Amino acid sequence: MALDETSHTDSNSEPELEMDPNLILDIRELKTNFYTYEGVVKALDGVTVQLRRGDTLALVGETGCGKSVTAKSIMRLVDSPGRVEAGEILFMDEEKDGTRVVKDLLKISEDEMRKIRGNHISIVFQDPATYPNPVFRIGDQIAEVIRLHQDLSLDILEEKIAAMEDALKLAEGRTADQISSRLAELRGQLSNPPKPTDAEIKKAAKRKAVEMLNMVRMPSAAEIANQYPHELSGGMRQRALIAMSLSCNPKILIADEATTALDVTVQAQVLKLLNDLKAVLDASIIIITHDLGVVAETCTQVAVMYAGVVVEYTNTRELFSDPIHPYTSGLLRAIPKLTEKVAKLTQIMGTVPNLINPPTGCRFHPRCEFATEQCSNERPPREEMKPGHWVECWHPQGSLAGRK
Amino acid sequence: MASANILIEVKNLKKYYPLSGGVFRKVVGYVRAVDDISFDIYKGETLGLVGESGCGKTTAGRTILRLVPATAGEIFFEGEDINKMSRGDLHRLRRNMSIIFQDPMASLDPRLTIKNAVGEPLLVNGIARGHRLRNMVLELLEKVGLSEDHLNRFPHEFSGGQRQRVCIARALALRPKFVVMDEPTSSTDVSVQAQTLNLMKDLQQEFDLTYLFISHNLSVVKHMSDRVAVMYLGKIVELTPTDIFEDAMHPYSAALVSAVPVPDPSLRGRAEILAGEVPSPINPPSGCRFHPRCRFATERCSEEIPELRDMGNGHMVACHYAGELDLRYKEGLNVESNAAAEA
Repeated sequence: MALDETSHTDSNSEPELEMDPNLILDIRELKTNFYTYEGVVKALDGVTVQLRRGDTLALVGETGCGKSVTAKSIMRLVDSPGRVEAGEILFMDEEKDGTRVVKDLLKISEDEMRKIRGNHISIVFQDPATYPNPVFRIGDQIAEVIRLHQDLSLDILEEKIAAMEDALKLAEGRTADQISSRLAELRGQLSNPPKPTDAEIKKAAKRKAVEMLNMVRMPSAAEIANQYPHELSGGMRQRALIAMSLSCNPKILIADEATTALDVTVQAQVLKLLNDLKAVLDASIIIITHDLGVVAETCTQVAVMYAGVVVEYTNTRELFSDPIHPYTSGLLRAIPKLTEKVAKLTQIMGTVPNLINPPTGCRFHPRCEFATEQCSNERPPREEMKPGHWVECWHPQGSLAGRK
Repeated sequence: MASANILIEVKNLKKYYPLSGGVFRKVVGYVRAVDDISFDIYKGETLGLVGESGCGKTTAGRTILRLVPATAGEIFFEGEDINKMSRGDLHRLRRNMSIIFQDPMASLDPRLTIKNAVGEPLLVNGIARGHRLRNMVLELLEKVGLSEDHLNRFPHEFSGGQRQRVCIARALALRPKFVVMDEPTSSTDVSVQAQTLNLMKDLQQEFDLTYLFISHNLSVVKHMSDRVAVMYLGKIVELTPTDIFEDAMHPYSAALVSAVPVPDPSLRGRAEILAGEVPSPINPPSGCRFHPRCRFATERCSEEIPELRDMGNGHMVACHYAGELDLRYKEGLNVESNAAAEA
């Protein structure tokens, strides 16, 4: 891992990290590079974006804009030759007693990160055909995640008590006395459940896995749990992956192009499921997509990315009604829409730049119709141009056209 | 022939792929990829063919060009039945028909320079050689927005959008009348997609082309097409000369249209969520193939196969209850957009 040097420092000796209590994730000035033979790919160049508790945030942009790298940086899954070079990823963690602690995910130890990854922050990847392990049953794969991250002793004890109570209803005479004394003993352990055996844990985890499959509305979940990934259709596999990601009640779920490989009617099912589950589980979601339709349909906040920079960040309604960055407005005009017919689409000239030699100044300037000399020399600052509407641009458009 | 304006007429086209099984690899069943479809393509128009994966749209496109032989049915190109043609006749006719595939990297030979790739059809058909060939290739490349510097480069040196331009140039080299576009922009980004779509519209005007535009993306199909055919499990369920978004009459088309995420937050939540997924084309449902997922389905739907009926103005719908149903999502949409207009 790239962060080994810093990961050994004691987090207690660090100064107290400050974070807005409404936020759950605060990414500041994140820089990630990839060191390839051809040169250094500056994949993320100072990404700043926030996720509020309970929000659905979209990271939207074209191929190579850094959406997936942002997600991988959050999960600390950037592999060699990539490296997170700078920045902070502050995460509001909750201890068991409910106190909130702010942690910088880039500074904590790998052990600590492993407790967060898959547990408090989990991710669903794009291609449901490649992600579930093909040689294990769906249910076992979900159960494994549960076993690794959750303490099931209380669930197992409660299950035993429930079984005893059922038995008590049927029992008579001496047996009933025995059962009730055993029951009292078990109830006494509730405050401090004993360590269950491996077999008990496996059984309980499997039962929870079926519960999770039910929650994602998998038809006949108990049977599906015993099937292998290739026996499921694309949509069902994606549901299974979502069940796996949600099985530890994560606080943040990252969906990296989770519906891109699916047909529209199935995509609609999965998107609705995600938003329904968000309310049930009290989680926050980051949706990574290139489809502005998906953004409009499901997200509350949007960050538009271009060439490793968040060029515009605001709430969804605002973004679609008043896009301020020329790239955003260009993108919105470039998509064919079902709701209107135009003779010709407005196109953005040129192509996405090579990030080994990104354009100087504003990275969008070679394709921007409003670009001036300032744009090619100086990178525009990240500015709150309207309340809650952050833009990086020297020549804002939309309602702010002509302001500068 | 109904009209001289018809360029291609497809009648009861079927394409079944046999499935073999058992020790002797006997044929145990068929994948009914395209199952009895009929339609016409008029000169100069773009017919959009839309549907979800596995509905048979790509197979339909390839069967029409006889790139794969049809199992049954007739395809007339300017009155001639392609399926009955000899190899020589077909070779002659092929100049008039062309195809652009989804993945431009896979459909360009990595070892041929752009000049050779685009020039090959001209050379094979003995149209030009040497210096004249080079000039013709250059002219084609300029038409699609590439320049002289690109002539001697290889496919890997180009971006995805540029590669697709090369494929378009190659497809147009023989000045065809008819071009099948099979998901031409589904592997490109939004900004590049707009460039490619605009280019294809311009070229259509310039060369007087007729397109069959195949895509799973309804918004793109609507943008490009004069008429739209919706396929489901090997059948055409609806063919509309007007706006599929406004006028869908088949419950499947309506659900499909409503499921497309629209980049406008004020239209949120109008998706009619279809239960389940597309069934297997090996054992398609009896009667109307959509009936297990249709909320209006009756007993009749599971028994009787609905015919494609003309509901007026050439709007064809294959539903027993076409025109009688209240495809409710429309109302929801109207309410929403009215509210947005008032606000």
